[in-house]
Amino acid sequence: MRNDLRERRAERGWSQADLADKLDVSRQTINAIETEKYSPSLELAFKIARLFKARVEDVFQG
Amino acid sequence: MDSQPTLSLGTNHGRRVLIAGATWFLVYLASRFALQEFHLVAPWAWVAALAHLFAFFWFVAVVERALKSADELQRLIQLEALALAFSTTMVLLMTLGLMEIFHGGRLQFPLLDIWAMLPVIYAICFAVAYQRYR
Repeated sequence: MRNDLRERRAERGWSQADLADKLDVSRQTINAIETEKYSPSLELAFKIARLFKARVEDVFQG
Repeated sequence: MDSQPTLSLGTNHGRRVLIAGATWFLVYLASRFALQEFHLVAPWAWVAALAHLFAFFWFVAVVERALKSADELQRLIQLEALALAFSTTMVLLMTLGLMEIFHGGRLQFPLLDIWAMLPVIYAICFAVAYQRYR
């Protein structure tokens, strides 16, 4: 699933590990989402959107 | 939450799984050695044959704790690895069985050692599953 997670993360100066810690997932999961090799669950997608204070559909573009 | 894939050697959980697995294996080897070298009789033969089960239960508990701490992608990787390993093991055993037919009898492959290929197959399948999401 296409997403702009990498850009949003970069705007805040966070590393993948930083973002992983904030979302309580592994860095591998963040990397897989950013490289679009893995689509997160709805729960994780909402967590990500809340963290970036954005709508899910703005972060993830089906 | 570890920032590394669960059950990889780089994490605390991975190291614990490895230690528990190695312990299980060593207890198994000790039991096998005792049975083969000392020609144990009941009840000691039973004790030797069943001793590794305690190490196995510990191994299962350690793996369960590791999986509980895993995130959704890590669990998916484990599921894919196990599905692949299970079917690969099945086809291998089926092939060995078919080979026995045209071989005209039992293959010179000790049943006692067939289990050893299972963790190897799982490790390969885990590597394959892990690579898919790299």
